[in-house]
Amino acid sequence: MKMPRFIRRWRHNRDRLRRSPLSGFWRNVATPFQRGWRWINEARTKRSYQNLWWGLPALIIALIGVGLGVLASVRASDHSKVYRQLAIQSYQEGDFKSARVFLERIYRDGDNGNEVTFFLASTLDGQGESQRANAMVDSLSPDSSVGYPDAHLLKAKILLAPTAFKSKSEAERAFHHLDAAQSKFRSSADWLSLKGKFYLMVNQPEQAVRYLREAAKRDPNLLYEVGMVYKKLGRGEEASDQLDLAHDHFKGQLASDTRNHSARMNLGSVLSEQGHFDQAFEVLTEGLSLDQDAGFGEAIARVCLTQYKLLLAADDTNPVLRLKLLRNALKYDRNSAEAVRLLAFFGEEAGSTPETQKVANDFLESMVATGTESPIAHLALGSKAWKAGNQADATFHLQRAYKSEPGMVVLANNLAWVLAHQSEPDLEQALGIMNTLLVDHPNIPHFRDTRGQILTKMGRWSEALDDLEYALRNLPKVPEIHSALATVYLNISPARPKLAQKHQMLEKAIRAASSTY
Amino acid sequence: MSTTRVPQVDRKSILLVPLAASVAFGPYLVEFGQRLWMADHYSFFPLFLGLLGYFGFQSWREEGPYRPSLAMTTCLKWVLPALLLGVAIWLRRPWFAGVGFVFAVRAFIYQLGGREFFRSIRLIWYALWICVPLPFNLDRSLIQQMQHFASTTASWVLDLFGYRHLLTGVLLNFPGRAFEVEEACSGVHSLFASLAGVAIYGVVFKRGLLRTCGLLVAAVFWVLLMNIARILLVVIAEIDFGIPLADGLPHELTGYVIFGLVVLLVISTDRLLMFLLPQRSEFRRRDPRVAGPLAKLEALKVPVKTYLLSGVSVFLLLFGFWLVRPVKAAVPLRVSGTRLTLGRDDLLQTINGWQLASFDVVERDVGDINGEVSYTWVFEKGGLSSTVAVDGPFGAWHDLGGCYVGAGWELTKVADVRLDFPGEKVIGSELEMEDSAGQYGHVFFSVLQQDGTSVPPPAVRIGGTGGAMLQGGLGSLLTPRKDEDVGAVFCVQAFCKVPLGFSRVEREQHRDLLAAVLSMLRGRLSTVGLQAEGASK
Repeated sequence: MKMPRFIRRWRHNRDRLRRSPLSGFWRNVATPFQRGWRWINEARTKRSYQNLWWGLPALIIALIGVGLGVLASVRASDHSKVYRQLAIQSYQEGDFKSARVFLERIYRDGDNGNEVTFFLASTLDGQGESQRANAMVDSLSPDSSVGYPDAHLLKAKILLAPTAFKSKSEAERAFHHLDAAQSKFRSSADWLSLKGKFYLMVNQPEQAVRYLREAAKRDPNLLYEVGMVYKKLGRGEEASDQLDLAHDHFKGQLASDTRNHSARMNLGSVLSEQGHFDQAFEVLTEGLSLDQDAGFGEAIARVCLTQYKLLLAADDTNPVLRLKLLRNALKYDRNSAEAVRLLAFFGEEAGSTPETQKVANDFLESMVATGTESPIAHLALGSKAWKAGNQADATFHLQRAYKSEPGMVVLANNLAWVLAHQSEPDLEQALGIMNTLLVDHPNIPHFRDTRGQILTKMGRWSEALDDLEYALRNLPKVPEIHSALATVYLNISPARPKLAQKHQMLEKAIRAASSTY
Repeated sequence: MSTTRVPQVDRKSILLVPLAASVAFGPYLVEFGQRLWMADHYSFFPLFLGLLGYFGFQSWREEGPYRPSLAMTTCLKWVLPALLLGVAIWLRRPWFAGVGFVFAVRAFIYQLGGREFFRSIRLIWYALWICVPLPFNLDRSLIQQMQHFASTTASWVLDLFGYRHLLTGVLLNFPGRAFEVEEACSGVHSLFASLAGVAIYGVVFKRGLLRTCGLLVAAVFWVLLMNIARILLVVIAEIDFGIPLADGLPHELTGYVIFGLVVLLVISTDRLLMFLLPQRSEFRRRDPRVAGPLAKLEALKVPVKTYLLSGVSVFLLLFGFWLVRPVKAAVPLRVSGTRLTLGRDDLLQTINGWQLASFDVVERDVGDINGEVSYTWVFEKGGLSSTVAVDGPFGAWHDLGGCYVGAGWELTKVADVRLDFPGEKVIGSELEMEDSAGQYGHVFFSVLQQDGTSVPPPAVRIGGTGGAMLQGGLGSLLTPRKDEDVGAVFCVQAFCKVPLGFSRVEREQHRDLLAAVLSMLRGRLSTVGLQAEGASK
């Protein structure tokens, strides 16, 4: 029988090698080399240089690619300094998004020292990632031992932000963190002012003043705070001295840079506290003309309201000035709930009698008659008429107010909102005002929103649903509308719990989105 | 004058053997083919097999006839495929059938033309192995390694060029913009198609086994290099020039351009090799007496149509992934379109003290690697926030470890946890993770079938230790598969991350949350089940 080929071949090779083991071995070893050498010689003489030209692009690109890759990998660890600089720059510019990218890069590359961790935590906090930020700060500033002073100072700031401590342990923690930050910040204005605030909160004003004065020596911007503390302590003379110093300081700052909004704002506050309302008004209106969005309008409104309250406290008999002040407050800050509330209760403040109220009403009517501040007088009269149950009068005055000055519609809307949301809401009055408003402006979603909110509070679900759904179509990102709709859907007959849940979810999502950077 | 008698091929056996092999291998090969079709990076395989078959046939026709092997040798060659088929049937694993089929092709070649024919087309036979996926899910690991390599190298080069950024996993974060290096961008899809293209190139131009292997290595290098270049191009174009190349048609077009470059560079590499290490046959082909382009082609003794055909083949294979995509969209996967409709109310407002905070639905494209739909509920308890998600449908057990590794997490522990439910023990997988920013993550997940029962996790998965993977891999490979066909499955997971690590209690609370969620969803699945919407989705 013929054996398979591989067996025959194996036998053949075996027999061949048997003939001369050494020669067979040599042949097996040498043959590949001999063949290789022959091939090299042949290739050297016959190789095509055309192939080289075709192959050069691959060679060049491969060399560039590999070279670049090697260079990049070798220098991969050399960039931490650049990232550090960029992170600091972005952080100082308030660009938290960029700062976060650069700080995370440094941190993930292994440089997770205290400084980097602290800055990363601050950045994360700025971006709304408070859980991770807090954990990082906690790890840097333990409550029972000394850690990174900057983190301790930050923790102290957080604990001292409210006006009073919730518990004794909270006060102890604040003290510990201030103590732990002392090594680095003992002589800094920041630490001294916090220490002063701590003593204020634990009711040791003398100690507080001592620290605050030290702080103000290092940072004159704190002079105003010191003055206010003296004022609260009833030490008028010292308060006045500090406010004078603060006045000079901020005035000097403003003289050297008219666009220093912070100094201007502080100067306005100091002048207001000193009773120089006209000057405060002047300084702040000048600021408003320079920058509409720097918050000067609100500051002017605050000055007006401070003066208003001062006049009220002094039993001032000149309601013209007070009404003018309210007018100005609302002119510069239409959303000032305090000003709107004061307007609604003009003449009915604490301690007022029916006589004084009548005087106030007469006064408002005379203003209408003489044409002095008549739109706002109409608004106040309209509000009062609603309260008194005189619907016809109320409608008349409110309509006149809207017609006299288009801006009054916004004020009326705000007034209704304040009436509906105050501690003792007057929903009927608020609804009455909104109804008069919507006669001429039925398509403004903000007004429909306000009326919808009022109707929700009144339990008039189906009417509220109409207004709120109309408002939602135009204002889909207002969380209050979703909240009110959730309430309506839960209470309407038949109830719609799924829709209510959907609105609750949207409300949370919108609030969460708006709270993140 | 003497004549050489060429042995004739037994025509009956030529017809009979493939027929018998088709019947025997058929069912498992169909399943094997379906799995290849489902994997994006193997979608080119029908085209590839067709081309290999064509070139094999051409070789037989042009260079044959050959002397067939002896009956005994042929029979011996059929033993291994038969054994492998037996193993496939016994273990119910089509992968063995795939391997067996490749050996069956070898046996058939021997039967047709013996050793001589096999030697002449052995490159075609070796090329068939490109269609056999690596065992133990190593191809998935390769994909992830490539993604990681491409992202890391691109990150280094971006740093070198001064583009400051943060790399987390495969995500390149720039201030205000992030670019994800997806599988497609890492070059993995084009890699397998490129390998197939190079194999075809080697077959057509008779480059020999060693040279073709060298070209395959070069193809891997070029695919990686060009895809890193693509990542850089996309980033720099958008950041410096505001040209959006990261999505849509521009992104596809950059893919075409880059892979066109890969083709050219592989050819260039071949020519460079031909210069450095000339092929012996090349010496014979070169004829200095002929000149001119057409004459040169003739001098190579390769017909012009072969050049054209090979060019078209390489082109088709390199772009195979994109070409088959519309076909795949028209013929969806088995699981595609299988819908599980869930809503916020499918989970309770409060589960074991966890309060439901929000609910969301994300719909994706058909066949998306992350599942076509994701339902997410966010639960909060104390300072913890857990995202419970149901993602799918998937065609098999979904390894979430890979997803989290891609997102920059490092798996510190992978374990299975048994949960006792009435009538069934559900096996969930638990991942403990840490990222380079010092955050800790805890994931607990389970994969549910259409009837609410769970799919047991495989022994080999991402994050397992090497020894355990080898042991588990071999064990699982040699253990009969229990499930015939899991069909569409959904992955149910709970993910929670904290800055300072989890306490034991927190981990248990989190586990309890998913256990309760699984209980609710299993109940819902067993009553409603999944609805197949067919191909029209």
